[in-house]
Amino acid sequence: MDKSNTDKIDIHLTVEIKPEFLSLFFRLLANGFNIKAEIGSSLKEFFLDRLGLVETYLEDRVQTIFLNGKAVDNIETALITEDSTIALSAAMPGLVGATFRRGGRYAPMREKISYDTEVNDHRHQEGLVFLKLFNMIAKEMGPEILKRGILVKGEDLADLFKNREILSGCVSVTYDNQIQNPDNFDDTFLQEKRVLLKILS
Amino acid sequence: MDKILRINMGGQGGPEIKTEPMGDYSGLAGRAMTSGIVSKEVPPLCHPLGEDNKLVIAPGMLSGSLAAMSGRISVGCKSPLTGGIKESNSGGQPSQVLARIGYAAIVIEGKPADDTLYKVFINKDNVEITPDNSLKMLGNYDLVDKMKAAHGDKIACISIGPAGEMKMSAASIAFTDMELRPTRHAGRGGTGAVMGSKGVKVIVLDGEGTQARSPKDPDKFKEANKAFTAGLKKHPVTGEGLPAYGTNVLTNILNEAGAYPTNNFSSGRFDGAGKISGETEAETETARGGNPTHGCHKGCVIQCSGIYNDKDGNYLTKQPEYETIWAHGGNCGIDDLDAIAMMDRLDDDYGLDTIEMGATIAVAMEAGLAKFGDAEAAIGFVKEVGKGTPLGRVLGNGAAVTGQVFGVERVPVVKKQAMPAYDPRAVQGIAVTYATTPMGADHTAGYAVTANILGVGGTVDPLKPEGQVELSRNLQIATAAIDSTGMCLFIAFAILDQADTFQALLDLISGFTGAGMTGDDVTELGKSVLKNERNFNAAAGFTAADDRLPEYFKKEALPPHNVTLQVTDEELDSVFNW
Repeated sequence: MDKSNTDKIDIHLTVEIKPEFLSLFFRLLANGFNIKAEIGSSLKEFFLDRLGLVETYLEDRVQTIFLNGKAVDNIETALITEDSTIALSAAMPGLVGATFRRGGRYAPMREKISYDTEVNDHRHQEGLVFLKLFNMIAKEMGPEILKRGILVKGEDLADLFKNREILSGCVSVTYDNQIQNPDNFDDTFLQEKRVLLKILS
Repeated sequence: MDKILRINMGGQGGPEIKTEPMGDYSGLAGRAMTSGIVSKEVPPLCHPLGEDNKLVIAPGMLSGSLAAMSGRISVGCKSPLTGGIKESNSGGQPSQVLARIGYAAIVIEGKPADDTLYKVFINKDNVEITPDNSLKMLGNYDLVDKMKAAHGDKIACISIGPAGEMKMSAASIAFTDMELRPTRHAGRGGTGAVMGSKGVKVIVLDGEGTQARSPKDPDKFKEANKAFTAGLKKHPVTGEGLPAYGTNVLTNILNEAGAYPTNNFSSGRFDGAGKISGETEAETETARGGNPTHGCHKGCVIQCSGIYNDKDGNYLTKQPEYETIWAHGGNCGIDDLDAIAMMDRLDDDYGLDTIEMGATIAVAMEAGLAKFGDAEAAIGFVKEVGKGTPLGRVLGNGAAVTGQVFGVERVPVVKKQAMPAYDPRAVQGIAVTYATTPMGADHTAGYAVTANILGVGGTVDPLKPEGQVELSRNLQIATAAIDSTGMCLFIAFAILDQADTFQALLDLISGFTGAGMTGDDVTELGKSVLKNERNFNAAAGFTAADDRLPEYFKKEALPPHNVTLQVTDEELDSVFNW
């Protein structure tokens, strides 16, 4: 998203979908979306306070975390800055997959790309971060996150709707308070727009 | 599993078959067996395609039993790709069947008098070798269909495709899966070329009338197997991530880390990664009536493989693995899953190592033979290899040869073997393993469980900067030992995190063999394998200078993190100081 217009939302789009089709939207979560965050807070605060995760889930399931592409070991000292990219994954296979686990014993093997607290931004003001959810994490956190709403590029959404199977699973599509028939849904209006997408199932 | 089958292809009256007792190789299996025989019997300076080289095929220690995950088979020889010793292993059914028939190893030696092609048939009563030139230049799929028509569908096959017959250094050996398809491969190092040089096209294994191998302590074995299986199922990697998405679940992660080699190792990020990720692959397979959760051999609990159908819902290939998706995908700038799956199918059919082929095509693209991202051209290159055109002959001999022919400096190889899907500038610990393993660049060489669990080589302080050297050393030792058991390396994740699952594995082995197994035993087994392999390479002319990564990794910074290789030569030279 363009940093200069982070709060601007062009379209509010709500899709009600049959539960068995919900996972088709998880690709949006892996590609990444914008979500509000308190700039200057720690990753742990973000996960608990903003995303609403519970500590046991964070400890047991979210084994792999990247902040701006760097593997994070300590979520209490890693701080969020404006436009940070945060990615979450479950434990990964393979030796290299295991090296990325936070605080893991293989961490020295990826030392050159480990996150080191280098920013001290304690502004504590509202901003946007770019969040990516992969694999089991997308599956587990996705329904709630999608229900609350994510800010995505219209092009990404239009690309997703190219899979007409998704529309066949839609019960209703509502944008700008107008309920539309999914069968007649035309995604061209999404181009170059910022869309606040909510998925209900 | 108490005998060794030797087939001398250079016998005076044609191939000679001999069955021997285990002798000096008693107690060995898997990689310990293959590397043990090669290091003892193959002259290190021999030509890899000559009469003095030997091709050794050995099931794992627990193969043929009811132990979960015990279906890996090891192939050993002097490598035509690296010029050093080679151990390459595979899943599929043949390990279980060969072990049940009773052979601890097949050793193919000598050189045939002419270019006649042979079929070997093995069952519990007999071994036959017959000339069959009708098999010449058949792809693995047609070949297996022909064997099925002749011998029924209860067989398992070990075979080579046209690449092996043409003795290409990227040629693999195929092992059939549970559906009797030639989808599992001992891919690395050109083992298929050695089988081709011996004139053997296919080994057909018929397990009719055989039984599962019996454990020495059935109660202990059964109990341990139960606990081991439960441990694998409850772990998030082996019980959830791998079954759901396969190994390709790594694409998004490596890409996010900036460690995903893209466009011939020129960047660590690929814009099209999301289109070829494990999540997308699993979704595609499910939508087309394929299956993202499938085992490669009976007794597999993890089920990390799958079935990939084409757009019309017809079987195209098995679920391509992470390394394959990367090699033919991001490393070539290609984000079309169907094109990648097609190359996987062609590689399996021609009998080619997918990592070597993907790396080679990327080098060809770097040379200007095609543009990065040109999927059609990439498929065309693989077909050139299958046909054996002059260009195909170059490409089929791997990335190092291709780079040399076309004057490319950025050639990602160690000991002439192409690097797998992890950029060593970003994950520098893997650089240590790439550089120092006797196998040439190989991610699986240092893969298994850690020192701190096994007690292999003492404990490692991960906070010390030299930790990555110790980790690589200990991982290589542990991996060599696991490769000898015939267990799938993916068990490592559950063992790493769950002490009770590791104990279950030790109990499983001791319940089967009747001998106790400790961390020290594992250490000694792994060390002895590595020692044999390193001694062979030293005698073949390898020096410390071969334990290095290409120079450009120290000079070219890798985006997005702009890191260069920092591991020193002194560190690399200290890896095997144990």
